[in-house]
Amino acid sequence: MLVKPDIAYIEDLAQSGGSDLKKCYQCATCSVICPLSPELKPYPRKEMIWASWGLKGRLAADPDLWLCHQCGDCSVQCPRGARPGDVMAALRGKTIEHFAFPAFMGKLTRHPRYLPILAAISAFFIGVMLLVQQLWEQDAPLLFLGSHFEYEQFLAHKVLILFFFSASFLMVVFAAISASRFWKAMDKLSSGWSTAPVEDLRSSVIGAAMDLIKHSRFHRCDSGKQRRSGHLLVFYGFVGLFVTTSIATVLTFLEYPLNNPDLYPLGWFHPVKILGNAGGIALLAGCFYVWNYRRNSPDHTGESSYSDWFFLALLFMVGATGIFTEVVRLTAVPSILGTPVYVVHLLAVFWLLIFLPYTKFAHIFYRFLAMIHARLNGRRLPDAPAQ
Amino acid sequence: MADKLGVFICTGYGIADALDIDALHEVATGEMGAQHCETFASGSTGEMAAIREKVQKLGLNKVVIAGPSSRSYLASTLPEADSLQLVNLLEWVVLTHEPNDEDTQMMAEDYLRMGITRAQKAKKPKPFPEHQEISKTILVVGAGIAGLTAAYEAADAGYDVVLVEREDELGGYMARLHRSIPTRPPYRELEDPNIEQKIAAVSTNGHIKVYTGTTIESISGGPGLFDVTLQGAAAPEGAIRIGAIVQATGFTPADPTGFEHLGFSKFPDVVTNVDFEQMAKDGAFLKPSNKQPVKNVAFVQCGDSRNPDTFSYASAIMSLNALKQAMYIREEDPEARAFIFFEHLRTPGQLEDFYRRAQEDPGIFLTRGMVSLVSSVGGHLVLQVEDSMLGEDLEVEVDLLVLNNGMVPNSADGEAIRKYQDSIQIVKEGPGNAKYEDASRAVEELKIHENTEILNLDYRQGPDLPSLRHGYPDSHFICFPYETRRTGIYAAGAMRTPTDGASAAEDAMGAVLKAIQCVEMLSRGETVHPRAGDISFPEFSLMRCTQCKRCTEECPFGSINEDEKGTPEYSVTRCRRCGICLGACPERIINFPDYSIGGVADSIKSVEVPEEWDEKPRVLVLACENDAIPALEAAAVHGIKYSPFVRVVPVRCLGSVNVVFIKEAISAGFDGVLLFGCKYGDDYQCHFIRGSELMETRGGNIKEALEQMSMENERVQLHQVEISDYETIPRVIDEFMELIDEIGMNPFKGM
Repeated sequence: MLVKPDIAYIEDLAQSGGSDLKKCYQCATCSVICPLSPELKPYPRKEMIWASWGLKGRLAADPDLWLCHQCGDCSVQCPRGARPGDVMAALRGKTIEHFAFPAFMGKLTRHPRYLPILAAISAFFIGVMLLVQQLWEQDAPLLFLGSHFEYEQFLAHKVLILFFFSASFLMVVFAAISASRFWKAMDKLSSGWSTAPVEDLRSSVIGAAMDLIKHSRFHRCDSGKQRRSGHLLVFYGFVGLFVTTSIATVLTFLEYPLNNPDLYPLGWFHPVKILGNAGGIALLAGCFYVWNYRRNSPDHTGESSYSDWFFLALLFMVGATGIFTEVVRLTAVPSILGTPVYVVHLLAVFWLLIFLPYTKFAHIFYRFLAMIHARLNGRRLPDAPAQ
Repeated sequence: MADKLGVFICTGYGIADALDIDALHEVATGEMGAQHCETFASGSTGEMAAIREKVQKLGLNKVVIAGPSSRSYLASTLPEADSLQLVNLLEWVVLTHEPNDEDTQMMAEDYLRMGITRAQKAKKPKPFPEHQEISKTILVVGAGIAGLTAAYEAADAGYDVVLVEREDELGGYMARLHRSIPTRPPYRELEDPNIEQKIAAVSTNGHIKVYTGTTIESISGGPGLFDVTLQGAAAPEGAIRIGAIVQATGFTPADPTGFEHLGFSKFPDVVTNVDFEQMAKDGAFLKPSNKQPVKNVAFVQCGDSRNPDTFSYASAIMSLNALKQAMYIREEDPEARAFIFFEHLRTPGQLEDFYRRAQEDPGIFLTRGMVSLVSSVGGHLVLQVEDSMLGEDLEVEVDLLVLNNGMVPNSADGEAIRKYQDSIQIVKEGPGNAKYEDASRAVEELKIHENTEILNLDYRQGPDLPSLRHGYPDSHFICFPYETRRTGIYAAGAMRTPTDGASAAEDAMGAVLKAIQCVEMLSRGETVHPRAGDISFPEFSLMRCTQCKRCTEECPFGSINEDEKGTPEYSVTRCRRCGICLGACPERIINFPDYSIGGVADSIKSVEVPEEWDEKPRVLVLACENDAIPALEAAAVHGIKYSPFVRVVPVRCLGSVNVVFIKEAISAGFDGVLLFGCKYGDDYQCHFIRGSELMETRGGNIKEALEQMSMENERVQLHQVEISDYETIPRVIDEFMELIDEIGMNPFKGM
């Protein structure tokens, strides 16, 4: 293999959380200490030398980055203070950036200096949406003028769904492009990394999904148990809200043909309502939990980067403004208050959706794909140590 | 004047509880005829002062103190006498054997007899007369960083120095450096070699005479009395009197041409670290092939990874050098890449931080790896690297490949030169000589040593320091830092071991301190390490000498030259008083006043050997006083017991055991003899280099002699022990006693 180390890449990596990566002297303590690293081609030792040699192509294609759940044991135990865990996290960010489609979107979420651009894109989107609403519903009140804030009047669900559905669709297409590139790169790089018996595709997908549902890999990280609880809360909170939103969307479509204006609001004890509220609370609680953990255990979490905070803040905003929006509806506040809350909520959800393939949120599919890939290629977890 | 013998027996430390002191008293004053005998309670300063006073008052000139180990007394509190012998009743007897036992008591009495006999036989040593004319001038050979430091430090301490440099300029290799590796905290940044300052300090020092472009024509005599003749345009007429010598002749970069796969001499862009240093000093990194600027550089240890033997001269210095030079190119161009492929990367001590500094540089890439082939593709060099830490074979494209050369010491192997010259002589005499074939082979093999002389010493064993491995002078750095096998000549810097500038300077300070110590001790008539302070020296009764040359060949320090007939010419200031010559001499003509063949033999004979077997065998233990004796005493401290049938005689070195000691023991009725000496071989631990090895050879002759007398040759055994072997020695003794039980008694017993 012809090696051409990329110095700029190393410097960039150092600035996005891997500042200690060059301290590694390849003792392999990290790979030995890691409860998840497979026996053959273990991580994160190899990633450490690839990173210090600036081998960006192979690092982006490396499925092992995503098998790590960032328990931080390697960073704590590293005798040189090279913080392999932090480097792995930074590398994951680099992978997201590397496979981003369109490529410029990969850059936008990685540095606060692009925030104005993000804001401009969102403002444009919301603006167009409200304009369509105005054109569509001639008698709709203008933004802050209603004495009593009415969602349907402010923004009709059909318009909302039209726009958000289109955005989500676009996002899914872009994410699929990234995912397929990632998969091909992974395949090319890691052929021959294992000699263990190989699972078929079906059982690999099911296995990976079960791992995801149970957070079973996460569970193997001893010192990460606390983080696992936080992650479970956020994860299931998000899933709950996602399911709620999906059902609500379907119901909205049903509502028009059935012409049933009394469908909303759902009663407090309607299962979907319960799921939505519980999801919101779980998401918020999880965000607090993770925020607190990140703040208090820097040894294990490493220095949290902009992408980490960006994503966490976004999740928090979605949860918090969602609950506020509900409160606004229940307390019949005037539009002057209701409008901004709702707009921020829409913005947060929009950001979450549209930037999914480019923010830390993308780990949801990179990790899932890498976990499937690992199973397909027999890169199993090491046997659990005997109790 | 008749001898007056006084014996002092210690009753403290539990000695009186375990032994019959009255009986010991009786042995001293009765059969051994001591004029005075009394007891004392401990080795305290007060008690010792009383003994000193008593010795003086009674005019006792032979004194025996029986009690704890010599390590229990403060040397300055011991009484002065023509001969003072310490008998160890505590560690050798009481602590290691059953108290109030018949055998233990016999043991104590025998040790007392042996001590008294040695005292009676010993004469008062007098310092050698030449000590009044010892020169204290120090000759420093080589004016690199080590030589300059040695010269400056010696002068600073008030000694006159003669500094001789073969080249026309001072400074050596350091003067050719662009930057040097860090010498002070935080050990991260390159430093200015600053050699000019050192050169100036030496050149302007009134105590230092500098001779450049000068070599050594000859050195005769011994330490303190060396006569040194110089050669060269500026050399003074006649000989200079010198006290001690520091040899700091530096190193030569190893020859890189042998490693074809690295492409040196095939591709102009493959250079050595010396060439690269020059580029740095000139301030321009240009490819030799086309004068284009260098962007990417690889640094590789010069050698063949598939054959570890080819890295003989590899050292930490090569690692540090690669790191340093990688920094050069990175400083020059922030986009440059520096690759370091190594077998081992060693950065001793604080220089670990220097390694970290290089490692943190985003443009320096380190990996262990084996460069298997270098080729030239499109104006670049392409390196094939196998077995890298990246887990696969690599190809790297660079503009310049720097080979890190090993450092070959600028030394001469005195013994090899001597053998070469002797062989030439034999070959000249023609095929008639029985040694002709061996000699002509030796001439071929040793041809590389022709004209390599540096010091041109007038020593029978060769004109330069003896080498151990790879041309480094033989020296045991842990036990004897800076020592060589030539008394008064100390090696420093890169000719002693691979060093960087800072450690060469430190090395030079150590060596010059040894040199100063040497001239000072000689001027008091004392010998140097390891018998530092000893004033006794051997006397040769040359009338009975048969010119067998054993002493001149076996002396580890080349102290004894010989005249044309082969008569030994002993040089007292070269001598370290090990007694190997005494052990070697078949005519027994070499004796120290306080350590003579007669003295030791008589003390062996003074042991009361039971005439009947009676299940009370006797075994003589001859033990090296440097390691075996302390180990035996450590056994006592650890409460390890051993057979009471042994009688221990400490010797200066196992090499100082004359076979006559063993013969006397056998004829006195001893059933066996155990010899404890130090480890020998390439990693020897012997204070006197090869004493125990020589004894092994002599022991072989004894075994033959035993067989001729129809005796079992297992009765004499030599064991190599270390100072930490306090558990081994008692075990070996007990196993030997079992063996003796099996073989049965010495048939000569009682005859």
